[in-house]
Amino acid sequence: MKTDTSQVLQKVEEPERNEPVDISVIVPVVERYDDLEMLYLSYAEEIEKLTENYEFIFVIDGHMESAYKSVKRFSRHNPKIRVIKFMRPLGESAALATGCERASGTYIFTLSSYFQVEPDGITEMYRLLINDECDIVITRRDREKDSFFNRVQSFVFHKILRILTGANYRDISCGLRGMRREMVGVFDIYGDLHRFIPVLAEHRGLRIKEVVVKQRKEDTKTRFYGLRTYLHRIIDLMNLFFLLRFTFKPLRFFGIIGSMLTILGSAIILYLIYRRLFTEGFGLSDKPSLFVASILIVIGIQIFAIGLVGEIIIYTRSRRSKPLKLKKPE
Amino acid sequence: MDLSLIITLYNQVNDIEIIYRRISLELKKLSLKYEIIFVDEGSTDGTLEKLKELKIHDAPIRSVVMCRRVDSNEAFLEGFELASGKYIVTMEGHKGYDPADILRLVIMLQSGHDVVCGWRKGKFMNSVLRGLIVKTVNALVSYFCKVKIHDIGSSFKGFRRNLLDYINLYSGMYGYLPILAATIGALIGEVEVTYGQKENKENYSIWNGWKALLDIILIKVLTDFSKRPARLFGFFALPFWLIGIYLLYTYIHHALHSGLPSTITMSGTGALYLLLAASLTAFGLISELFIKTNSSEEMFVHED
Repeated sequence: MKTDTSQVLQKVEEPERNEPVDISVIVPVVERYDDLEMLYLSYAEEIEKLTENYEFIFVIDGHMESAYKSVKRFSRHNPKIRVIKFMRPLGESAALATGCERASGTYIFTLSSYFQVEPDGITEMYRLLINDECDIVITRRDREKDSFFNRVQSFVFHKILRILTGANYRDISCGLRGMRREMVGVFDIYGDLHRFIPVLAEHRGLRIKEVVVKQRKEDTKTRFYGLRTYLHRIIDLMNLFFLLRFTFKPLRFFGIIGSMLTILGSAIILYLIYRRLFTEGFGLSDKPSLFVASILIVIGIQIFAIGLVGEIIIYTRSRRSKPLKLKKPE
Repeated sequence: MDLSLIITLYNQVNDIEIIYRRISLELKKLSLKYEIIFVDEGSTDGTLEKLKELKIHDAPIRSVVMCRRVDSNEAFLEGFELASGKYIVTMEGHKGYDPADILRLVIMLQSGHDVVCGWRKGKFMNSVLRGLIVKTVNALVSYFCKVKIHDIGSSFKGFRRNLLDYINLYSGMYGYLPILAATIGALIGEVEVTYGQKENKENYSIWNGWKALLDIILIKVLTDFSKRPARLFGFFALPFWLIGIYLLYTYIHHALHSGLPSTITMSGTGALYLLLAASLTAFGLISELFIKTNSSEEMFVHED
């Protein structure tokens, strides 16, 4: 994951220790957060069963002062915790990317900063990664006790996702994920794209496995996000749809929409001219449909031109983004 | 290395050995140092194992393996990166091709051509619609891009290696290589090749023709105007400037002379077209900015 955070001030407080560890757990604290010490303790307990050699990285966004203070309280004398604090709000993708860049673990886990799932799924995830059965392992909440509304909104979201991108997931936004270290830097994420890491990864040819984990009861209560959030989700989905299918072929997308509109508009105008000349004889200036048709043409040509500009930018600027190779050539 | 042969494979566990034997038999006739690069497009059958087996027996094989299904455009670009030969010949791993044609491509390349395209003559005769679309597309390409090629869709092509350093190759660009090459002054040749086997059943509809048409517009724009897009957009904006000005003029004229209140339609339409013309011109200028801030390119020259 790459995001340009180099120009942003960061406060990094970490113990003097640079030898690599087995597991890095990254906790981006961006918006919602629960008792972080509880969270840390419950997951640390589970991870200690797997290895002694682990680290926790809390990446705290710019505006989360209170979270920062509470992390400082319990992390001070603990060499296994590293804290990174942004000096201004940068969002979850940036937090994840920064955390991954600084992680030294062979395997990286990401975690949501609130109680979402029980930690015991980590054992199975770690096993899958160690046996090289997949590159990225994601989790799915079992949703046995989840509230009805949560299930509905999640169902609708994943349905749209499937229609737009063909990706078949049932719980893509679950925060607990694991990956091999080499996967860091494979795809760029920015904005709200962190949610779609599995889709992006699959598109680049990585192997993905899903583990079902128990949902915590704190997570089962009905969540109603504001209208703005829902709107953002829809825009994110559109964005993803475009990124996956048309990044290198903007004209395929804009060209088809644009030429359809232009053809429709031209057909209307031709029809009006035909009527003017042969059947009616009224002036064209009395026809609002002339205006509508002209708008169609104008919008159509503009959309087409935007596609062309996109192609020119890609042509002069782009370097190829490669599909990943399974195996290096000898 | 003199010749790199790039061959794409997809689920050809049965054919790969035959293809390989026939090709290497043919290549040994040439006194060239050659390598064969197999690019696996994400096969799911035993093609990979077979490939490994072949590699043990024979030295001049290299391979790239994709971990997902990629289309052959992408696969060829991947092969280019590995190729170290002075000449590159690309082909699909397919029993239908006659390996003897490789020699003819190489001979053309040696005689000074930079790109040689294989012409699969009479290939699409079995489907009327497809044949029609393919013919139209090829004719349009020849006409607009000033490159005389009969079969632009053929993947049996030969290239001079150093030509590729001058072309910005990104996803999907493989198909346009001859046209892009022609714009930087490469000499394009064509050779008729045998293509025995029937194409596997693909869904080919009018939609593909539409896409191809967009591609032609695109390649024309990119090759002719990517250095100065303001001209292109300015050219397209011109008629709309005229229409807009004319409509507004008649509106004003009408209002001044007849004294009657005129409808909003004419003035509105005129204003709309002026808006379109202005934004097209602006698009051109913006594209120009993108190109001006890009680093300049080197010129393609022959060197021996």
